[in-house]
Amino acid sequence: MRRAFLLALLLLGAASAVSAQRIRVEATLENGTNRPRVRTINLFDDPQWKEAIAASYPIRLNYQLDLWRSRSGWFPDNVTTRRWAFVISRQAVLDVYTLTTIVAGQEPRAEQFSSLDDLRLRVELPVPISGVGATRNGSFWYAVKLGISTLSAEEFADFERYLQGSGNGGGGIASTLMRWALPTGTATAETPRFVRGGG
Amino acid sequence: MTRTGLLTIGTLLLAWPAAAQDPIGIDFSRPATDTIPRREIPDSILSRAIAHYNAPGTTRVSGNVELPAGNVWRGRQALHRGQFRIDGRVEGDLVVINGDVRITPSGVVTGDILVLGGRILVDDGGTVGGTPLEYAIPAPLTLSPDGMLMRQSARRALSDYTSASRSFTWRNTVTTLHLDPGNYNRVEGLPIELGPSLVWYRDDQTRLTMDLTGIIRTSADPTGSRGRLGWRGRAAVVHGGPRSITFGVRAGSVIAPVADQPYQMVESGLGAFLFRRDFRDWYAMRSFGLFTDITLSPKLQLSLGVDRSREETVNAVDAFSVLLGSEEWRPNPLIDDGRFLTQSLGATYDTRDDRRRPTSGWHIRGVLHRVQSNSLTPVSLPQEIRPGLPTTGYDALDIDVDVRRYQRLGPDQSLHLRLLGGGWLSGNSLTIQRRRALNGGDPMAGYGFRAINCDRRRRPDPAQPALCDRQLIVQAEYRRTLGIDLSTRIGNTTLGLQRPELVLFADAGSAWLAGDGAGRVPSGRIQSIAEWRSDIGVGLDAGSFGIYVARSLVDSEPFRFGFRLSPRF
Repeated sequence: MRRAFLLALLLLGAASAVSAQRIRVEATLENGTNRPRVRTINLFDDPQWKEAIAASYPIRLNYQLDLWRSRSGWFPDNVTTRRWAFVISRQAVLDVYTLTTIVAGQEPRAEQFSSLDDLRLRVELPVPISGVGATRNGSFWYAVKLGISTLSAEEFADFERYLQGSGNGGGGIASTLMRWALPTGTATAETPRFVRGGG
Repeated sequence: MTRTGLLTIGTLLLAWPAAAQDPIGIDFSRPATDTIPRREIPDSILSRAIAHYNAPGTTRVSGNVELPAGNVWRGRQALHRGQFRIDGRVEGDLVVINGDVRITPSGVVTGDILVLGGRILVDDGGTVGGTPLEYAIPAPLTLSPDGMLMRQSARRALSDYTSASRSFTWRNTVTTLHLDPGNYNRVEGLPIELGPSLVWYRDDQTRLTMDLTGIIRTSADPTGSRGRLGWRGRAAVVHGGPRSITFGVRAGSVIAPVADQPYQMVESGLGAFLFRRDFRDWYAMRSFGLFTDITLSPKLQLSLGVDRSREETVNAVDAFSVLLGSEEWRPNPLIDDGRFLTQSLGATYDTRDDRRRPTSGWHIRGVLHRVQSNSLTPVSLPQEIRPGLPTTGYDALDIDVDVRRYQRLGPDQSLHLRLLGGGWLSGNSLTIQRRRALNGGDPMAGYGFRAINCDRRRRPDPAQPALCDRQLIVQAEYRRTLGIDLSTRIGNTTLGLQRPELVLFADAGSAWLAGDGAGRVPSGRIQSIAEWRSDIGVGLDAGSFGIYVARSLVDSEPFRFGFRLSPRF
């Protein structure tokens, strides 16, 4: 019993140490405009992702930003949802890092960095998000969700078709099992509530 | 300031002009436009860049290069990996691979400029005599040891870990040889699929695809109901763009699943391989057909098909399973053998926010099948299940409908609703391979396999075939993300539950025989809701897998536990 208790304490300690290093996302509001800013924290402190980048696995950071409007006595109203993605990749031979910003309907934007520190400075900057503001009066808040993985969109699509049994034989059971061993993570955050108009 | 700092600033200065206003921001107010180049670099453009770079007369440079004002470079120019600042004059065509070009007010390029994996920035006063063309996505090109430009091998996709493939490119044609494991089942064992596929890019919009796959069945069939080898092939012309159309032919000799298909294919395969539980039934099909897929918009797609097929019963074999190896496999049911002409019309409307794990939007799919035969050898079934089928002049219409609504109720909670139905519409009764059942596990989590299969014989078939004419199921789920992290990490592998979703769900549905007569539901009606089965349950969905427990509301069924590799719907 005592051993089990000690083991539980050890596991809890390990889990909390790990979560201190885990990637986080932070959502804040700009003073005056209530424009949201989204900041990604700890990506490069998390050995899981640091090692993946070093091994030239492209990292995809998928962001989803929701604007919610409070409704008294009922579920909140999802006013808008916007998504974008950062893809971080490394050309091992050239030792160059590329950050590609992907927004639906817009051309991808690629930036190159010659060191991990430069990339880190860029990725950890708060990103202002425009064109998502409330157009009605009321009490609002933003919620941001970050999903991170080493899989590309094409691989997700392949996997989805495979799960749906498209019959192309692409993968089989083992690849599903392998997915459990691949790193994935999520993080969420919300801004404080703000009022537009009379509330 | 360090060299890297300067490079970073330089890179940001050369970035997309909009970025100059807010170099790091995301602006959703910028209007979407169709005039931007496609993200993917067409194969013909890659070929053009390679030909230009490798041409004997091309001047090749790499890294950051500056052509000072007053200097002139003549002939073909190419830059690999770097920034090219042109203050002087380039008399000829210029190709930049994975880099940017900036033409300052004094800069001139008399020919075409092609930039792959970067930007063309022309300052006021800068001159481009030819056509500028840029693709921001990094080009999959690299230098060979002898300095020639070549295509980079594609990064291995997830499925490649259990597969092998090799691609060859010649001009605008990409040929791939592949080897994949198919889905495990009790008729074939593990099918191994291998063969070539070929894609010929006619231009940016149009391509021809051809696939030929041979199938080796690892389990022998001592009864001789099917061969050791199978195959399938497909050739299609794809015309891309916002509204794409695909037209092609398909053919094959395969083991196909019957219409009643509980669980995802991978779950069925895993059940067979690990626990000797194959949740699908199979038949041998040799077919040839034409098909068309039309994308009217990203949300709306249509499909049409006409296929001639020969369908025959196959037997379960003594395939290997990890556990319960001493048990007999469930027999594979008899089907109605015959030659069929099947016309199909399908439509899909999909506004889901995420196809793998949706939380909002609609997914509506409907498929109509008209099946005809002049050479049918039907299985003899009791009249109370199915009237006798004609051996010629067979004609039946059936439908599959799947309507799903995903509604978010807050940042961490959502409501999912589904209406799933299908079966006979008109004409002759359905063949066995097109009949339905109410399945336990999926979708009715509180019931056992084929809880209602309409087999009313005094001694039901141990194969438990799906023999109902119609099925209709309603499902509802409430999902809430739990802010708990019960995971730890061993090496780079995360074990445990990270922000799992709590799932509360309820299902109700039935399957029945349609038509006139005792024990049948009239064709124009659905079965009385008082006779429907229903269940409620709870589960935890960890993303990669989910565990569920459910209990029937109307029958004395035990609690049933389920393990799924994907969301329930």
